[in-house]
Amino acid sequence: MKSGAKQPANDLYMANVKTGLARKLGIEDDPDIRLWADLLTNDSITGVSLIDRMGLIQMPYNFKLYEPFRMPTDLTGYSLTYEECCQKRAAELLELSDRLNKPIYVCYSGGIDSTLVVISFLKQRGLAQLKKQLVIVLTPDSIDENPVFYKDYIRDHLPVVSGERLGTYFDGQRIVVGGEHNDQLFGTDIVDKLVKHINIDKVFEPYHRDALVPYMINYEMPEASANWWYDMFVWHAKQAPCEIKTTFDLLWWFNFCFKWQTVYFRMLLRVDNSLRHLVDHEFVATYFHHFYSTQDFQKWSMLNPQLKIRNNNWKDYKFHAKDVIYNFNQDADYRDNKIKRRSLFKLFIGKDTPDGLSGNFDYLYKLDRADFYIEDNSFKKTYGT
Amino acid sequence: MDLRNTLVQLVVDLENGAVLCRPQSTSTARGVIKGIQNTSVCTLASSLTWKAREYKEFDFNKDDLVWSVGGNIKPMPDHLKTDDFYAKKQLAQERAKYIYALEVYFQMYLTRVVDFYDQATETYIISELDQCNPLANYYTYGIQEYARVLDIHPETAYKEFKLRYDTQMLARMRNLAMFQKHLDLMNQCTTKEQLQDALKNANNEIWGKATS
Repeated sequence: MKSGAKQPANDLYMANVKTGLARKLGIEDDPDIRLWADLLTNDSITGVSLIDRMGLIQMPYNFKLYEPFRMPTDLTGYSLTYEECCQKRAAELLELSDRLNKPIYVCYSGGIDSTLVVISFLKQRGLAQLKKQLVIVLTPDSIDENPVFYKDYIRDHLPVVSGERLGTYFDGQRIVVGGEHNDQLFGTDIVDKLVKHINIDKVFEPYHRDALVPYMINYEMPEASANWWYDMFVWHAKQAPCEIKTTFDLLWWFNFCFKWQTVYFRMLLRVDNSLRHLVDHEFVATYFHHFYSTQDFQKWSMLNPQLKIRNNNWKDYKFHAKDVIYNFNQDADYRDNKIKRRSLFKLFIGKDTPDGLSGNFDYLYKLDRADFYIEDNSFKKTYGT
Repeated sequence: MDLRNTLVQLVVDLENGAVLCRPQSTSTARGVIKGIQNTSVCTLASSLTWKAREYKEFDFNKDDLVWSVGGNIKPMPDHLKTDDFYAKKQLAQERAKYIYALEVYFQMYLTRVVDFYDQATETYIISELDQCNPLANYYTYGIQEYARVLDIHPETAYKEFKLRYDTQMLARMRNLAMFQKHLDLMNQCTTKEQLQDALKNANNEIWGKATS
């Protein structure tokens, strides 16, 4: 639990960009902030705050890297399969639950990521044993998204609670496990939007300015900003510990490297107001986990680009994860036809959401420019040729 | 039976009967009167054929009109056409426009979150749930029948319904509170620019904050 006198926050783990930084911090005045905000307030690539896990790009505001998320760069000798990563992770979380004698509350949307989380737990211990250890956090949408799995493995088998009360489960009496980061492992849903602008085959060709810059401009990003960001993406990708060849790879790398931290913290930003005083580094490390956050999964992702999508077909995005699901429940329709959907968005609508989370886990409703601005930032620099 | 949104509803100044605006919905009309002293919602029997013919003559937003008891509408006499009246009319019409937009946004939010049954079924299910006592393993006949058809345990059927209603009702409660909060903020606005900002802020609170 947090204690003692607090210093005013001067760093951020994440911020709600659209309602916070870009709107309130005087973007008209500063070319560096405008350049930064041009991407972050634009839905073509991202609408969330970015933190470079490689530590190469300094944002104009003081976003702080959460240390466990520093990019793993030594990939030598790594050989775990995706399924092995899932099993290792499920075993590790069940062991934590045994040790603390607290149940695991799995955030379940019925989508590929959370279905695989539940399956991974089931493969470890089976339904009968898990009935006392696993609680499924869902909404009616979760049932509708995967009715077959719900009927076969959840209904009448596992305890369920309402996802509408998600923020109240962060009370230290249970371990909350989310299904985030699988998107960052496999690619990015930007591709789903991009293929409405260019032929999908081009996404799998060697990356090229023409595949991305006109797309960003089409979302009303100024041309100079779109080119700057493209140059930065390419420059950054060249520093990656794995090979980045295609536009798909380039967008995956951006998602994997820059969005990881915000994706992790966004659920924590919605913790119920009455429980926020409990949230600190120790609490987070103990009671809040996203299943796919581990270094193992990240290394697997960097070493297995061929397993992310196949046949240049959006329906085959995450095919490898869907195959693992199919091997468990033989649901061929889900394997062949299920596509990625946004699930957290609906859960977040209308919830009390501060504008930022500081590096000390303060929930911030007001972000003042002077508190976070970094004069020496990368947005005053030129990338590319 | 609920004819409210099919009937013409007017915001009327009770001080002199002046018709200030014709909002697009009942809740918008009620929202507007919360923000302007001494106004009320007056409903016209506009779906009755013989009254409809009478009311067809008027453009309730454009014409200067007065309402009197019995739903009588007449052109406004000149002495009531004061600067005060026009200022009030303009304010009511602007607010009605933006409050209606607010209502539309909040309805959109609800349709994304809430899974509607027809009202009769919904009322019946809620009453059945209230009568169940899971601690005593007692489930009403309706819940038992639902469980039997689906081949699930009555306790599962009960929990499933509870989950659906808990989710929906929480979403509705939040929606209602947020709507009221932003309605009150809109009712403090006196210019079009302020109303635009207020609508933008409401939109951000519903959708913008959910995106990151």
